[in-house]
Amino acid sequence: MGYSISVDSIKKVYRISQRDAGLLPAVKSLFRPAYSEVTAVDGISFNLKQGEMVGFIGPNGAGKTTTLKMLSGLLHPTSGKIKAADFVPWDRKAAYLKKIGFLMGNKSQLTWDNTIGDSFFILKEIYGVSSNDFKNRMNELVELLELDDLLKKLARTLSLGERARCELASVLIHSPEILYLDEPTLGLDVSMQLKLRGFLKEYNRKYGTTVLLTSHYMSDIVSLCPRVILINKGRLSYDGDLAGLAEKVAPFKLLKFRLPDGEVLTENSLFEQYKVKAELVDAVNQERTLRVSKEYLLPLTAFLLGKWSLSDLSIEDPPIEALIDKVYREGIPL
Amino acid sequence: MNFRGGIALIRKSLFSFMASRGFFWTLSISWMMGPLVFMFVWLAAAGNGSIGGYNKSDFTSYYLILILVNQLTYPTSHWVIGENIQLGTLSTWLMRPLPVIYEAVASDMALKIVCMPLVLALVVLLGIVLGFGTVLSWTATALFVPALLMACMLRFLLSYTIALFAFWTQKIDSLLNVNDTLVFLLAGQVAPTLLLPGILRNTSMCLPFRYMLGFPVELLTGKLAVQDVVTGLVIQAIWVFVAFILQKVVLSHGIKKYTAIGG
Repeated sequence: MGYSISVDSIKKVYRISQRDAGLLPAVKSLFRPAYSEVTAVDGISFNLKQGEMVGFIGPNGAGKTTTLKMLSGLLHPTSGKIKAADFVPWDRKAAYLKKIGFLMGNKSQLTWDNTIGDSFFILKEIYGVSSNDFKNRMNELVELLELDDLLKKLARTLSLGERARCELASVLIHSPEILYLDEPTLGLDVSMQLKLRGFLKEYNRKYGTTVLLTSHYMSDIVSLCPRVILINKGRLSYDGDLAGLAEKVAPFKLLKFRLPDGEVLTENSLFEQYKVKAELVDAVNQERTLRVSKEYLLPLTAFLLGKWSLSDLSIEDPPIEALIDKVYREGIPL
Repeated sequence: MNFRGGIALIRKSLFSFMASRGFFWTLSISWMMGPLVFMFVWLAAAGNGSIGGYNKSDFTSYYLILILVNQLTYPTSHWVIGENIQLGTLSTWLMRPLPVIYEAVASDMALKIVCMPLVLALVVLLGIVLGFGTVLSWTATALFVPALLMACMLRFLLSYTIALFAFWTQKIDSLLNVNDTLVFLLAGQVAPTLLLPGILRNTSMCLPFRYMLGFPVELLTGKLAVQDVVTGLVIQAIWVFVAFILQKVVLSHGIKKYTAIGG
């Protein structure tokens, strides 16, 4: 099957210098520098189909950005193969670079002392976009990302949110087939995050662009990515949908309710009396939150409703952030 | 060859420089200071006589043309390249469907465009005040053009190649300073290379530095015999070829070392 992106056993090892703190170690390192090898990406493989929108998640230092940099051709891997849009990225062919857009979290495509309008025009010329396509594309991007007031401003005078919208527009001017987005909502306020997510979703739907997105904001992943790839310490831990990940990591629900005044409920009493294993996660005044596995959920709920007249009973999935935190710390159970 | 992209990069750099109005004017004047000082020193030393075939008028002509050639050949982008490699901001250049060298060439060309009017005006003024005594022949002027072009290319390529060693060393400023010092000593700034003492002169004839600056000036001012002009042009072309190949080799190996730091 033809894939838009095909990654095969890709590995990246960095050789880094290191020394102890202090003057003597610093002087020593002049004559005998010490190095260590860090395996940032350790033989990972995955494929993306045309038009897929995939979340690429993992803790800090997991290897996400290194992987994106190899996919975009910025880095040469230590070993392994990648094919993206039928090109080997690190060959850096102009034809490949015209097919991709890479939004790097802290590297700007905009020219600091040029206006946004000029920056966009320069990108148009670099990528060889025709005047007609550029006009249509700009009309669309200006409207969707609300850039009208920004075109005459110098890039260095923009706020973070304004710059984020302009950076996103700058990687879309040439209509790339593949988008690599490295933390596109980093540092943005809630409203701007919502706006960008809405835009990306619509853009992917309309143009069938393949998108590989990294983000530490789980709201980005939940709202945009039907599929997630989880990388931890350079290795892939999971590749599938978020619901499947949640099921593997936390096959339980949260049961929240308010006990009537004067009533008591403990974990021990639940188990001793009713053989229900439930973990008391939170107890403030008469509010209770129980973590209970799915098999005990219905019996426990029925018991609680039968025993007391409960107000505000709710059944919730555990917060996705808590799940992901658990995965980062403990890994995925086999 | 992406000419559209290259011209766009020149435009980008032009706009950036124009946003810093005072910067390029003070830069141009600072580049003129060295040759002006040496010119006045040699004028004083020559007095009413001559030194090595150079009288007052010859020194004036030599240094005024040298100021123009220096302005046209002086690269600045190499200082930025090393920093870009060290800080990971080269990534922005690498993501464009353009050879990496385009950004550096565009930046240098833009700076020359913005600086040249001021420098030209000052040189013309100095020429009027001090007197420009050399008559420029058509043949010398015609040969000066390719010599100047090759001088630009050579000076740029060598500095650019040295800057690319930042892929290995990270900080490259000291090597660039060594290069600038050698240009200062051997390229005809301190003295016309024809006036350098024995071994220094012979060394300067073989090394690339003279051909970045002094050689085109000596050619235009008619200080070279025909044979020396031809030999000089050939040596210059060889050095340009060597520098071109060297930068390609260094870049192709260096880029594999690039770690694109900074997230």
